Amino acid sequence: MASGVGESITSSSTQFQSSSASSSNANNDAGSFECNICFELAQDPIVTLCGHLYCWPCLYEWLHRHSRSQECPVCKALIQKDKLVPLYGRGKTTKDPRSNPMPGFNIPNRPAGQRPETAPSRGSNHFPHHGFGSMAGSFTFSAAMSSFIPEFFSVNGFTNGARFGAATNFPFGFSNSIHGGHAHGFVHPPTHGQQADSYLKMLFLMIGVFVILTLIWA
Amino acid sequence: MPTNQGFQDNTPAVIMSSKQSLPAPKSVDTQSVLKRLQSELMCLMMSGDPGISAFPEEENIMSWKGTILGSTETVFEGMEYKLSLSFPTDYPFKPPKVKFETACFHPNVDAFGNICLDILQDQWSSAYDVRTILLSIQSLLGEPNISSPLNTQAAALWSNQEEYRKMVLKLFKPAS
Ligand SMILES: [Zn+2]
Ligand SMILES: [Zn+2]
Repeated sequence: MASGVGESITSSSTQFQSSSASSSNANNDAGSFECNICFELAQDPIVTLCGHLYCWPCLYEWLHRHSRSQECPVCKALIQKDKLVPLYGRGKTTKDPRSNPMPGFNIPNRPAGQRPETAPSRGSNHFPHHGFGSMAGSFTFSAAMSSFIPEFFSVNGFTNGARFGAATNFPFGFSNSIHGGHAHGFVHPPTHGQQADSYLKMLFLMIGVFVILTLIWA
Repeated sequence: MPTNQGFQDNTPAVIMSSKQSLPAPKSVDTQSVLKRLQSELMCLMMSGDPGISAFPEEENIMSWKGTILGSTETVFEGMEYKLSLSFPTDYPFKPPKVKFETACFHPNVDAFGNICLDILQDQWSSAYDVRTILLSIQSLLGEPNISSPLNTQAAALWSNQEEYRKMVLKLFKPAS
């Protein structure tokens, strides 16, 4: 009885969290990307099969030190470790020591993504068979792009590591160059608060651009 | 890969500075608890749920005072109950200790204010927060678990709601 009450209440509180603005971020959508354990923007984000988002260190600590059965803190679904899906945003693959809430407690690496076979390519085989999931994957993809349309990008600006690492505006510039037809589409780097959020947006944008390009060149 | 290299070049500085600023492990742990409690407080103040409220005690965010208003159409209607919540250093992995400060005549509350509620014990989840705890206790008031009572007298009287209400009114002592 009481647990039933707890569950129904939890679902309403989740709705509330996603509809309320985060304290550090003026964006109303930020709550959708908050860890369900620490309530901060998820670090080393990982998603359970039931769809609940956590920081990997937070979820690991819950599963290994405190949960009696391996269950999702939000919906109590059973969690299988090999069914966890990591979320790879852009440019954030290095491990950040600050994301570890328990420095004395050794948290293993986040489980890697499972990648189904690449769809059999029809006709041209321009894209290397690497995932989007890793830094290397995105870079290879970018490199492939630049070889198609080198006139849109100065090679210097492209391989400039600092620019890439600081705030990659490539997708914006790129989409501008497609739709607007000019190469000077670089926008100013987002402010610190927006930056984490824009990584997620960029991921979706990248996928969108990829789909469009596949259609064009297929 | 030049691009990758550039990214990695940027990171050591960040790692070093954060390592230098890292205090002893224990206080880092506490910091994440503080952060979470602060965001819960924000959440609670903005949500404006009717009938529940909570606020940290002076100078100690690890210990909160909460209030619950008895829901309408229950025998606890109109009663305001004060509670204390004390958070362990491994919160939210472990539940806070929650007690009634105001005497509460209820099947699942003992004479010392201890509450028997599964989500505060073995059914705790780190996704619960102060708000869900208080709302759960508010629901528990109107829907007690009669089968495993802490207060057998209250459990026995529960079937007679009219008499129960009289008892609630008689035993209620507002906290000063
Ligand atoms: Zn977290
Ligand atoms: Zn879940």
